[in-house]
Amino acid sequence: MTERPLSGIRILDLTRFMAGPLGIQILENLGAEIIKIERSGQLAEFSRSTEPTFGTTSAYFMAINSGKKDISLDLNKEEHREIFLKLAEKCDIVADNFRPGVTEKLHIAYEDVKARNPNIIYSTVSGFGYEGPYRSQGCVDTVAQAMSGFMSLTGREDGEPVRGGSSIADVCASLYEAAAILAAVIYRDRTGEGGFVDIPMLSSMLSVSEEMAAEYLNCGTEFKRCGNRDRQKALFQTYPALDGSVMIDASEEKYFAAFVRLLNIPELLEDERYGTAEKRLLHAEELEKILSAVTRTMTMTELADACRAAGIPAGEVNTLERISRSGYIEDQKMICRVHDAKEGNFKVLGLPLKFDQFEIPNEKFVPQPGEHTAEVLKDILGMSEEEIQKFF
Amino acid sequence: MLRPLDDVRIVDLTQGISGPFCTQILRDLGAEVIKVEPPSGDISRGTGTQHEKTGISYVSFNRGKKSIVLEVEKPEHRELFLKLAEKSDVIVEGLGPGKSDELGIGYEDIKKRKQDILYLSITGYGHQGLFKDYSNSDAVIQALSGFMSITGEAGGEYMKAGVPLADVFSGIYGAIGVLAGIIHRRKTKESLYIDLAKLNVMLSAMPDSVSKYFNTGITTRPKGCRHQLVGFFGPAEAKDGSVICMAAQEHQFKALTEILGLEGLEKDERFNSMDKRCINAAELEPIIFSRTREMTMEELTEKLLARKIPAGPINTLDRILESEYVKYHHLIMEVNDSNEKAYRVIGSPMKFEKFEMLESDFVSRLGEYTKEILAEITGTDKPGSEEDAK
Repeated sequence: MTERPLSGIRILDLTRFMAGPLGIQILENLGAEIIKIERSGQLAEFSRSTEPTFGTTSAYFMAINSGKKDISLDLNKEEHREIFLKLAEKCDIVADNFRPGVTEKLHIAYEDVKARNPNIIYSTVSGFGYEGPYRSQGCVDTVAQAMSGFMSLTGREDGEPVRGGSSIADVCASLYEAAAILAAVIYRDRTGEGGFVDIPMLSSMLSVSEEMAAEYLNCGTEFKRCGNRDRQKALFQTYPALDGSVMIDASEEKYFAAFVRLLNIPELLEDERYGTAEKRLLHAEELEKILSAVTRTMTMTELADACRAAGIPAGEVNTLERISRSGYIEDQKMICRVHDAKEGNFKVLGLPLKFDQFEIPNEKFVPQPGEHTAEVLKDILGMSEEEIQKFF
Repeated sequence: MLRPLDDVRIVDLTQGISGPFCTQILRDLGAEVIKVEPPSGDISRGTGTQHEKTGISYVSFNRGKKSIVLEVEKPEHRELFLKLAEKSDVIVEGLGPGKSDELGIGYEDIKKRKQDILYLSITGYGHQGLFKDYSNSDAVIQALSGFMSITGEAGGEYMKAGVPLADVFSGIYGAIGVLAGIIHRRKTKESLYIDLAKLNVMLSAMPDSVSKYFNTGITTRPKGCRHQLVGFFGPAEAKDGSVICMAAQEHQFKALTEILGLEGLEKDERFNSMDKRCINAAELEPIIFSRTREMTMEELTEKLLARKIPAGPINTLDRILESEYVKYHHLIMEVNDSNEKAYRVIGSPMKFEKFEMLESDFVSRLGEYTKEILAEITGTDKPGSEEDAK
């Protein structure tokens, strides 16, 4: 086993909430040393107090901030700002997710950091990008989901636009943040130059509807919500079961034939109206009724297992409880144990990437606010105990 | 202009969305991508509106890739594939659990020929284990992951995202894996196997909800766009659509009443705290909507933003694609095929100071580069080399 790819890379992390911290968490998993900056006491990161909480941490916070060294700085104070800039001199990357303009006011913007560390990589995640329309507006996940068109495509055909149940715009921007920082590290390895990296949440979220956007741009096609049905293939949808529902693809000829056989209604295969995929599309509603009447008498597991045994693509519409109890997550070694110095042990998800040459740690700490202030200032800036006391 | 990956050659054996989206991100960063297709072509060539055997879906996930046709099942083609791998840096495959090993083009096979290969394998559920033979289609992954069970109208049916979220997120994670691999290889000169399962990605897209379940046993339920715990926090109806309006806190709600000419409403006994506004939402909404319906989405959004209330219109795709925002950021790029047919697709959301992302690119016909690439790897130009591939 060798070192992880980002060992030796140090990131000064100013990001809060999810669009930012999650991307930095990915880089932490890949071996980077993270120094996360928070305000102290009551002003520590807000997501520490998102319910459910455990002391100064929360289920939310620990999921995306494990293994990050945590220091308390108040960047409104000039002497703390100077510490920030000194730390930036010793870092490879600075990451923030403030509204454009905020770091300029605090004198910790890219230009300020570059003056002290010319090859710094400075990454920023914002709602609408560092330049252009809406730049100075704050943005939250739901707004990015709404403005990107994603919500207009999600939900029942006759219902209201629906928000993705997790903060997917935050997640999406964070994934691009991690990818872009990695690309910038490669660029710096080759040229010696760092540079500014700009990840707008709204642009990121547009890429999840890439295919439909292309249909609109080239053919003028407009899309509606289609509930739990596939946009193109008839009978690829959820079917009701006794205790929930199952996603089943009965669209292709062989799947449809196998499906009606397992539901014990083979006479549908003789019916002219349902003879081809096109015809089934025309009669989808009545077919759905006939099929659902039978699926409704089976449990989710029975129905999904029967489909899979017959080679039909299918999956239970699981709750988080059901998927957690399936054994899959442990089997995939996707669990990371995290330790809070005061509250004890918790479980969160690990990185969904696995590698043969190095291991991603599955035991880590979750930092208390400011837990590493003294350590970081001593180790990285060589400050003495007395000097540190003077500042805090 | 130098781009981070312009010294990297990728051989892409994937079809559909997740793998192609991964290599497209790497292409945007400068990589050369050779797309190996079966004689019938990537399934996405047949998806969506067609133009001369090229579906829009193919164009949107495969810009800038050189298409070659190989039947890797055939021994002589396998040898050509291995030769190509020798002259490449990265292999990305999504053939299914165990398949690439069976075909003799697995990680170990390639490593024998190219000792520092980076090999990304994308599956639904890993190469081994509980669900390994399940269908890996996006909708099935959305269902199994639990994502659908936290998405939907409050108290309503569990809903899938109307876009291929598991595929797209897996594509970006795949790119992250390859980028990390490139850094690893620069440092160690070693090969790297990168294993990515789409269900694991979809779980990771709900980090907070999964952590909440792991640590409290509480399962998240769909809550629509309204928030059960915070005041007025939902879509407001405008003349031509709805606007997300997050006037949850006291000062924000007060500002909202002023915008709408409803001054004093914040003192009404039914609505004078965040809790009460939640409990009495059914009474509050019609009062607010009676005013918001007199404004267009744009007017309402501007007024809310001017008072620092987080807000944004619930856009349809056409609205956002025609917006000033998309124009300003050059998010639409032109892609041309060799018959000079031009397509418009969404470009990369990432922006870098030191280099520009591509503003246009090409899309190749099935097998358009077979001859050129095979001539290069076999060290001949003779036309026969294309025949070898048939």
